[in-house]
Amino acid sequence: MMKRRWLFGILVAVLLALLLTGCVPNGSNATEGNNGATPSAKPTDPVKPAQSDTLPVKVYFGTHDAKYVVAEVHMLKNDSQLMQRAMETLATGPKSTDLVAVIPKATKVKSVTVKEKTAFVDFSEEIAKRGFGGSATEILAVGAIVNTLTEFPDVERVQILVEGKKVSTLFGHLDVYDPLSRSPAIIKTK
Amino acid sequence: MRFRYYVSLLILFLLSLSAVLVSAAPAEASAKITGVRWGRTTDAVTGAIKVRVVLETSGPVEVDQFVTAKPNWRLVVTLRGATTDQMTIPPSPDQTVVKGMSLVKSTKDTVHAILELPGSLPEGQYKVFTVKADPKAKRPFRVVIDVEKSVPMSDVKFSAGLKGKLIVLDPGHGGSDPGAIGPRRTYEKNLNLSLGMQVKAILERSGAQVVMTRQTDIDCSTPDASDRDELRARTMVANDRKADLFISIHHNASANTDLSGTTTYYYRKTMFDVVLAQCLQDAMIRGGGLDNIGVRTANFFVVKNTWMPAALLEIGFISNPQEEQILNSPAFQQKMALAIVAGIDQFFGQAAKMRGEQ
Repeated sequence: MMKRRWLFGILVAVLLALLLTGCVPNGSNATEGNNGATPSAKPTDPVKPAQSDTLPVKVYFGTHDAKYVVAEVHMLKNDSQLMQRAMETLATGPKSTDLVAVIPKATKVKSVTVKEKTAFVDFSEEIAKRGFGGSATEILAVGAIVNTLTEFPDVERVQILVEGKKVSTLFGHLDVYDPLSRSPAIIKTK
Repeated sequence: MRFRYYVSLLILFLLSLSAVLVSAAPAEASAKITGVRWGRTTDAVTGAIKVRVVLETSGPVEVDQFVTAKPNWRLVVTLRGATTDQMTIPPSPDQTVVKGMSLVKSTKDTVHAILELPGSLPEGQYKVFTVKADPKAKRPFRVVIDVEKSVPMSDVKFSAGLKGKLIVLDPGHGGSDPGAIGPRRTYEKNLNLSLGMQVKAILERSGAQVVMTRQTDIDCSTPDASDRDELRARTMVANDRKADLFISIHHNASANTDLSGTTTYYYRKTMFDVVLAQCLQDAMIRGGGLDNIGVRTANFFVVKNTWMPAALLEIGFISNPQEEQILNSPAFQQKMALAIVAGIDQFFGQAAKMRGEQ
């Protein structure tokens, strides 16, 4: 009798203590951001929560004045090739006539892999086709590639490759030899 | 007997409570700094370099910060409601931005994170903020400190005037690389060279010494060299000779054939680069009459990897049929060549008045 009362008491005391301090989950969604940018529509947040086979992904295209890139949401098939599809959409071009494609249409995306928060995106040689654009286009191309991939929560840096190799530039000006981080200043938000 | 039972239960309750408190560390107690992470980022477009320090804590803390001046440049971030044990702090990923960090306990619940800096840190070049814990993503409360790389102070002094100055001119592209191609098949490489040779002639008449990265339609390295070797060959011309200035001459292009105008690009490398870019841009707009798209920073290889003040000019859009025609006109090229020389002259005039810190 005495023993049972003790056991009951201990149980109540421990439970009470757990209850009082218990984990009240912090519901905040704040993130460190990618260099100060707020990734609003993360590709991992499906529109339809249950069993959605497509995801809204932000893909960046150039503005007509060639000063900025703007995010356009594309519904892409949600599988292991999601990042590759996002990069292919860059070459396919925008839906909106207010925006322009920033890499040559013939560009193929050979692979996208992520290793320790760095995305390695390997393009076919068509991306560096001479004569496609000048500095203005090159800035938009690099800004669009890096900003599209850093929308993915696992990606902090982007290493651009052409035919599996590091290159210094795409069109002869902008240095893309090393991994690059998000560029918030080139993004135009409406 | 009964009394002793309840007292024992109470003690047990308090013990359990404190045990759970220690493991869960709620807001009332000081949060412990549990981890330090560093990161270094390069902005994809501007090439701006930033070092980020993330302090992970076991609970929420309040932050405040101040910067100390010469001779001990520091960014001191105060964490209120925080405590720390002896912990090893990994080295900074870029000593030219942040030399290192130490955590100093000042009171029972205040810790100073002291970041040693290589020089002064102007307002707007650092940011301190906190991020709430995200249990779902298993991420703790974080204090984030961002420090942007400052333009280092320079002890280089310029004199006014063009006489005796060594200027490297770099006509963009060439040889196997045509650069952009206009709708009427104008090759950018040819315009760059033609304009570059005219700038050279005027500069030399003004008493400056000019070295060209190329004087004919050739690659600066070899036709089959990598992009990197080609651009390095150009920057080496200026670096090896310790030139005073490096100016790369280009013409822009875009898929949108309506685009027009002139831009000057620079990389924030010395305190003089922005001044050079602005002088050249102003002179070209006054002299040439094309639209002013302004001065911009960019992570361009040749302006970043030259050791002296450098600028990359993008004069008009070769992709715009009207501008393609203007750019091909000898009269326009002559006007632009004169404008570029005037811009260089203005730069030396302004730079001669610049002293010490920005």
